[in-house]
Amino acid sequence: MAKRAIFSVCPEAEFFGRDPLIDHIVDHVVNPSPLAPNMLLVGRRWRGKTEVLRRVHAILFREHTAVVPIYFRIRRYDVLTDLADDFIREVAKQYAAFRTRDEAFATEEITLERLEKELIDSDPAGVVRFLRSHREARERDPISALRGSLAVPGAISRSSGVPLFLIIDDIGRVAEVTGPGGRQVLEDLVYALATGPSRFLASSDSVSCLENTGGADTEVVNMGGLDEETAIFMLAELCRVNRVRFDAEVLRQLARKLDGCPLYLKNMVRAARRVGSGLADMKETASIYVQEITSGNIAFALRGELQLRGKDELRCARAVASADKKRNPHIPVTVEGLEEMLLLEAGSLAAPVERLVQARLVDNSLGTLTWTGDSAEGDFIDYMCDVSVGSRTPEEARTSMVRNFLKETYSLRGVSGSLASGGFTKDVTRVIESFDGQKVPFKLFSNRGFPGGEKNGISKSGSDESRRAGEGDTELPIVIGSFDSHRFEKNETGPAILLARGFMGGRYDTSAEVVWAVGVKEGVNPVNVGDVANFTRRLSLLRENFRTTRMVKWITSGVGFTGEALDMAFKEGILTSGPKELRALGDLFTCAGKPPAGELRAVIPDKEFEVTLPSTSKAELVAARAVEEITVDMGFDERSIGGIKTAVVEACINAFEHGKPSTGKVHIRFITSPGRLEVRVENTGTNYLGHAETRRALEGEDREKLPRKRGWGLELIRRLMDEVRFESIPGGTRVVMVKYLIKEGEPGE
Amino acid sequence: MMHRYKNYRELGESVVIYADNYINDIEGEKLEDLCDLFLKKGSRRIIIDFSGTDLVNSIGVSILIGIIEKIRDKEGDIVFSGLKKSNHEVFDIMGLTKHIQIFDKEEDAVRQEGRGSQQLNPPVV
Repeated sequence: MAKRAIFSVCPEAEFFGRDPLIDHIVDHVVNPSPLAPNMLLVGRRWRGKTEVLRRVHAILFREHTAVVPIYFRIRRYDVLTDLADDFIREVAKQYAAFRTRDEAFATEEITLERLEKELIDSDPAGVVRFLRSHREARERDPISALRGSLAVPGAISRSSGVPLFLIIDDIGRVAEVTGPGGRQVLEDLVYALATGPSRFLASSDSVSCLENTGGADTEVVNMGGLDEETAIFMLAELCRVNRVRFDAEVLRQLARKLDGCPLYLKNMVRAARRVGSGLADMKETASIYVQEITSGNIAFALRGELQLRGKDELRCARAVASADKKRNPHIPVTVEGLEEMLLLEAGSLAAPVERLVQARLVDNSLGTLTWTGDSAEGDFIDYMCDVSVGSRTPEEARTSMVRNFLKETYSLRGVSGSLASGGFTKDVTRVIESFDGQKVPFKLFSNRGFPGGEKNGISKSGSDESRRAGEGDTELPIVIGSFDSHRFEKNETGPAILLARGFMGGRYDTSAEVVWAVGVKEGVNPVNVGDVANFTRRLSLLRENFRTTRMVKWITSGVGFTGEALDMAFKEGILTSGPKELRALGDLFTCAGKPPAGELRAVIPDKEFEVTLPSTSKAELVAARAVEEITVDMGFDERSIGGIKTAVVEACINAFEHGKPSTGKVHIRFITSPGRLEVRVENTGTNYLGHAETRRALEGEDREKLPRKRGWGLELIRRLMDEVRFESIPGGTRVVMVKYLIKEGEPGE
Repeated sequence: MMHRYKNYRELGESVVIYADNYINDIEGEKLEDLCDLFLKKGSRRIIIDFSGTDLVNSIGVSILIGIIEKIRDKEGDIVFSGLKKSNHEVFDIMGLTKHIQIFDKEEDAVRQEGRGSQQLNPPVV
């Protein structure tokens, strides 16, 4: 069994995968490269840098005599003299400990005065003289005292003839703990180390500490989390020792999710043991993870380390992390953009961003922000934000995190929805993956019960029984992922069936598990009896793969159903949705959060009107007149009608202005439902979702000057309508505007 | 002396211009041309009456802003009258209402200027 390190480290049984790195570092110290005699270990927090440095120190102390190892961990300092005191004390104490081979003395807590007295009788290298000089210097000038203390290792090396080897842990922290001049102090420190006679090994979370300090003679070693296999091995070993049940595939997902971070891995196993659970399936693992991130040891460690203070810090961190998850490099997150998005005054995010940079969560490069935190830190921020800034209760936030964890691990396993079919299939996939425990009118899953039916005589028949079925509300599952049926149907040549796995009632246990099997009918023909029979036959075979799980059967069609097909589906207990129901579902899920059932019901369309405008002068007036007719009929007041007309006119003008000159048409759809009007204006051409206009509009106008002349179109639309969103569609842009009917006596305007 | 002609009426050094049903770029420019014309003729005060205007788009408003600038540069005066609620809201959103006097009725605008010294006739549109 290996002898323990001199400075405290974790038990050997919990230390995995770093031995080759330690061997490399020791070899580097004993046989230094003339080109790069120094070394910098770079890695995120809690990846094990301190463990490695302390183990290297112990090996050099006990097994080698070529250098005197001095381990120095940078702490939080308020004043420079504390840093100088600590540094010279550690150098003097550990040098004496090495000379006398007294390991205990190396770690002894001792004051400078006491140290001076201890060393006075045996001081061949003149250490006491350095301590006295330092004591005098610190009274006069803290900077001189620090520079003097940094020179001491070189002086001792010269007088003793044995070089001192400095092991500086978390060197970058100097910049953050000594006030505004911290960066200069860090540069002085690294410069003194790099140019002095003593070599050094340091750790930091970034290489930036070498900037401007002549770091060319320093070998940089990147230290990430444990590689996947090592992390799995570590998890499995810890599970075995702690008698925690595990599944190899679950451990693999966990190792990936936690970025191989030893601290996270250990705490997951300990938490599983503590609650008497296991890491044997994703559901219980998700539950333990969320417990750890929100109120367990990981949460405690993150809270202490990140020291996030304000709501703006949380909102800013979440926005940057969220952009990183979407991984869209074309939309950089800027400080200015965030201030605009969060409706804050210009410059108000400067301090929060600086704090996030210090917390190593965000990188700020000339005002462009990137997320540098890991996945667990992102989840922690999400939770904190949900609970302290958002409107979710802790329980709701935890449920959401469990769901995201399951979704993410599904995605990591590569089984997320992958139906290789047309646009309608993708639309259906999007809809079902948006299922999040909402309550929706059952008629959205009963084609016959839906108002308006389908066109061209399709779905005209159907029994009274099937007609009556479309009443009441139904609760959707929380879907965690979807995949197609091909893996289970090797000889099946028909279109794949979409299989979506989820949980009911926000509970992630087996009894709440459900699979939605979705038949997707592409093409121009309605679903007929043959399609329903084929779907039923295949499901009876697929059912074998989901014996213990409840299965919901659903057929969707981009065209509609024949009456016979609807009757047959009803008898087989199959849900049915046509294009209108799917569109209504899609609209429901684009609403933020979970709107109340009343609001959900409100978006089910009563009537739809379509207008296509040619690119001619005043064509937008046709749309204005159409919407006037509709809004008068709905009961809007005169002022609202005028506002809606103006918004529609502005949307049409934008659509014409940015549309393709060759086609030049603008398509408008008016969708009415009780108390709600939705207008969609589409063009084909360039995307005109300009944010600059919004920004200009939000800037304070000079009261003395007249307003700017151009760039008001989108602002008017936003101000005159209740909801506005801009969507990129294939080859163009769609503006969706919603206005709610406020009746007299209702709260509103 | 007072002239009455098509979509405007002159009241000595003042003129009332009656805006079209829909103020877009074309109609806005027509208004601008009329204002230029009356400024050249020596009118010092221009009243634009919107009582017949159903819709104003943002380009139309931007031209109105240009008209205001131009008249003020020449040390003239301009006021609006007869705005419908929805158009008033558009002007308000665009910040125009802070910079120009708006009267409910054309008569109020004229009376404010004329202090009862001129006899008013109904406009000819």
